Amino acid sequence: MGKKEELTEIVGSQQVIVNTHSIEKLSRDESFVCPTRPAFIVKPRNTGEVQLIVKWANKTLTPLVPISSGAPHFRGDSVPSVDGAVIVDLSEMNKIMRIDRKNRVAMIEPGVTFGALCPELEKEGLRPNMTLLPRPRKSVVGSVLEREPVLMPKYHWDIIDPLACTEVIFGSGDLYRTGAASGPGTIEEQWKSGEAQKSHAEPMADWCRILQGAQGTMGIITWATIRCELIPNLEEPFMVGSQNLPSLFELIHWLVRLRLADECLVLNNVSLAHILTRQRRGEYERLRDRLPPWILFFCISGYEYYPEEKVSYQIEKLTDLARRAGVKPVKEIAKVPAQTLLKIVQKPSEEPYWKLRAKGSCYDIFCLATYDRIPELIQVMNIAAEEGDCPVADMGIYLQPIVQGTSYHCEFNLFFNPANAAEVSRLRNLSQQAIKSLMDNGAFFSRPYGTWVDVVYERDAETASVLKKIKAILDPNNIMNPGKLCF
Amino acid sequence: MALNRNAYKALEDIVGADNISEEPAVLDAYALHWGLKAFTGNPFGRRHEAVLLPGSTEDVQVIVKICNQYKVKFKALSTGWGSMNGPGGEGVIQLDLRRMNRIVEINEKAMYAVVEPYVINAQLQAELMKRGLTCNIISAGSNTSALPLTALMGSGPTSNSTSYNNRNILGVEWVLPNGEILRTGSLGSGVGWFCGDGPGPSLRGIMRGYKSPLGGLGVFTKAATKVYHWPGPEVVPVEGASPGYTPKLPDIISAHYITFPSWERFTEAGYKMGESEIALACDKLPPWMLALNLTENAREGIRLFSEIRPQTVDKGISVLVVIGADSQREFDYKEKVLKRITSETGGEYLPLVEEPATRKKLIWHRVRATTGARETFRLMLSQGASFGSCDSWEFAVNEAREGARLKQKYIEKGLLVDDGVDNAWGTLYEHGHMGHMDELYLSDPTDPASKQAAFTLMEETTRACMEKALGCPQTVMGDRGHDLFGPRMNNYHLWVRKFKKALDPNGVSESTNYITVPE
Ligand SMILES: Cc1cc2nc3c(=O)[nH]c(=O)nc-3n(C[C@H](O)[C@H](O)[C@H](O)COP(=O)(O)OP(=O)(O)OC[C@H]3O[C@@H](n4cnc5c(N)ncnc54)[C@H](O)[C@@H]3O)c2cc1C
Repeated sequence: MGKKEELTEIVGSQQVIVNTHSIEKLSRDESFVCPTRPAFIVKPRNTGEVQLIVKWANKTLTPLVPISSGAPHFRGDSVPSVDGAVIVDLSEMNKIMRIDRKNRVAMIEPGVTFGALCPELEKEGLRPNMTLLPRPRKSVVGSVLEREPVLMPKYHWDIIDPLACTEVIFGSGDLYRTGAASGPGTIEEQWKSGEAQKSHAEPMADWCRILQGAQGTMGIITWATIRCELIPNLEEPFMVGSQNLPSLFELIHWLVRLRLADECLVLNNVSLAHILTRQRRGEYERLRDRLPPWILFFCISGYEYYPEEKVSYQIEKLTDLARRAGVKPVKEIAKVPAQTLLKIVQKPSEEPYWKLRAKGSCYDIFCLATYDRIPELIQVMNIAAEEGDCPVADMGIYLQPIVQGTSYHCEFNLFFNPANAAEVSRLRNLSQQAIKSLMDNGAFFSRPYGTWVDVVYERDAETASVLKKIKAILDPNNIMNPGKLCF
Repeated sequence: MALNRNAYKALEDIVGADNISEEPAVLDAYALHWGLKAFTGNPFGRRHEAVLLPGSTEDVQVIVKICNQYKVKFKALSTGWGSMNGPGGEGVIQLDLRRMNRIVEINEKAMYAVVEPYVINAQLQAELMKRGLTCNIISAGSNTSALPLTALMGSGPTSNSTSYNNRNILGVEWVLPNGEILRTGSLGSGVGWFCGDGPGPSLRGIMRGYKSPLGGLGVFTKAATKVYHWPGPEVVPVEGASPGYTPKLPDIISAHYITFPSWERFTEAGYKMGESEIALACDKLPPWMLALNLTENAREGIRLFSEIRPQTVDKGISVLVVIGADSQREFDYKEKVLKRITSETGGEYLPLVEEPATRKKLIWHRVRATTGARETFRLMLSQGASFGSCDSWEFAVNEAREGARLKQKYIEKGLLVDDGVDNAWGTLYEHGHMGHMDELYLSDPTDPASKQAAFTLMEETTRACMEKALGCPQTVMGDRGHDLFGPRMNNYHLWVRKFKKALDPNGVSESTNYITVPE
């Protein structure tokens, strides 16, 4: 029996995809990684099938590349690095298994997208701690596994949030439940005892942390629990426009420290204009030029008890803090009401995905840094862009305080036309150059993708060495997404 | 078993003759663990072969390499509050880290502090308060290490707003059992302490679970920990003499001790308080502990307990709520919400804690975590603890309920101390996102029947954890416990043994309280 037949035995013929079009689509993405054709795409429908696939892959030494989100993909992690790989497409495992309002948690399969989850949570008075305008077909599990930054830093206590527990098939083929889900007792027995699979840690390890940031190299997650937050009763969004980042950082520090703001993020005029405009000619440029260079956006909220009173004392506090930081929160900038932006960022992006609207594609460079290094990092990127002949005036920037303000996710959006070979080539060079200079200036690449990987691990050989030991335990035959990270 | 002379000499060369000893008197001082007597009848545990005082990470690294070379086991000690730093067998040297006592950095704007192992929580908190910040301190006391990697669990009285150790860790400098130095996250890339995760998968995943590795996985030489806003003054003057002092705190920091008529109402109130984010601390300090906390000796404590018993134990389940605010309006709002929640759930404020002097004293004790030993060990009885894993608030409450249910019969028979039956300590984490609870019980170590009752209760609670899906108890340490719970929990023990073996191929990081790998 050939590999296709063996896979068909596990999942049925409908679920093994061999048609050229689908294969071709998954052999490349929007990033600069080398296109590589997978052998097949297999679409399991439950944990049992996933486990059989992983065991089969161990027997046949077939590389597996798990994916959960729908296209477009951006970071090269879902493109096989080696020939003969099988893509394990989890998009049909898309059940919302449980929403627990009392404990503010949802249990979902990896195929559940932001587009599907948000309305279901809303019915229960809950919301996810959103990432910035994910594409509607972005898997929620995929997003949290990638440690994508979330918009509400005050609820981001630990970088693992909002991921809680998972069920995973390790590369070895073993099924494991991480965190409180590990037991004792079945999941149903745990629910009876009041457990809600909220604690990600087990007594002696925190495997979930190993699965996060792993780009599918450690195992395949078959469900996860996600921390959710309440939908406020009253929301007062604000914007602060500024030329001066340090004064915005000062205000953000206090907004997060005093738990005043729910959503809290900074965009430059380019990114905000891209978010707010459709494809109409000239509209983006006009808005970009009207907006101040930096826009801090945040929302003050009131919940069940006396929401007006809560919002009112918080605004009083805000006014004082803003005065001390020398900035002025307003309800509208360049005729863009804060309320409009609030509604936009609380949902996934509309189609077409905002990063693709202007030029057809977008390359993101992102890292973590403390607030004080960010102006320098921006400078470094500007210089790199100028030297690389990429237009600085059209570089988007998104700054997201994370983990309660201990650091920032710092993201540069480089919008480009994928059909323009010269533009693509310039960007490719820029990305390599920029990573090194950013690292030299205080940037931490906690999530290295594609071509960044080698540079990043070169600077931290010991982490790479220990990770290899852990990888050998969880995936002894190196079948899980080989060629990614340091494996 | 004396230490190999060559090994001794090599170790001495690293730390200098003044910082190594194998004098019996010195070794006995390290073997003395005040808690042991109640359990074993003997306050002395095993002796180490030698005690060393390394002065730096580099010292620790070379020592660990020598240990690997001579196959000598080592065990770290930071502040030594528990007996877990004692050796589990022969041939173990103690690394007493007291010379590594610096607060390396307080980054006020990025809200973290970097500490060495012998920085105690009281010291760090005092420095933080000068900057309007505070930190999570475990209930064991502010005399324990501020390194978020030593305490067994890492929960404390203010964990509602300051989370717990496992979730507060940022960058860590870690001498692995093989002597290599791992710097996690951003630290490994040479750009600072602000992140402990990556590049790629986070090695915090094997560094610890909700419990710390108790010396069995190398030596943590520095760590960054997240810190939190402190709404009180930079320095709090106190009047009177310890332990009876009263702090001068502003009136916009307050506390109430609230008793609810049933477990259900208590649970409901916890959820509401969590969601409304009003509390600096939401700390289930049982009436027994409250009485001991507020008094200056055991006799007084017992008297106060019987005085408050009708208003607390006899009426239901109690919680201590500390409210802190930066402005009068914020304070009024929080007080108003608390009153509303209390009335919706049938709670009643305890008049004793409404007295300003008592209230201030109590707030200070909780925020500073200065009374853990007083609340538990003052009677010189033997205290045991059960349950203690964490998940939802309801789950935590169910741990306490089961603990009280199992305990009751022994109290009725007079075999365990009548501490009100429900003597569970616990807290909300992160404004109600999770909860922790452990049930405490007191036996008389001089009475064999009482000792036996405590032992049987421990077995019963352990069984309840397994049979009723109530988590892995905090008392599970070492091979026996993990071999019991592992098979009921995905065989986690086998996976941990695999990475223990991979990181510690010579088995030199002494791990009796963690897990060992059979040869
Ligand atoms: C009254 C009371 C209340 C308690 N309350 C709590 C509580 O609220 N929360 C809680 O978690 N625990 C609690 N405990 C349990 C326990 O006593 C403490 O967690 C623990 O003893 C803290 O000790 P320490 O910080 O002084 O560390 P140490 O006693 O120095 O060390 C503790 C363990 O960590 C290891 N270790 C120490 N330093 C290092 C290092 N640098 N690198 C590697 N390993 C190291 C040691 O070998 C030892 O196994 C309580 C105990 C008592 C008696």
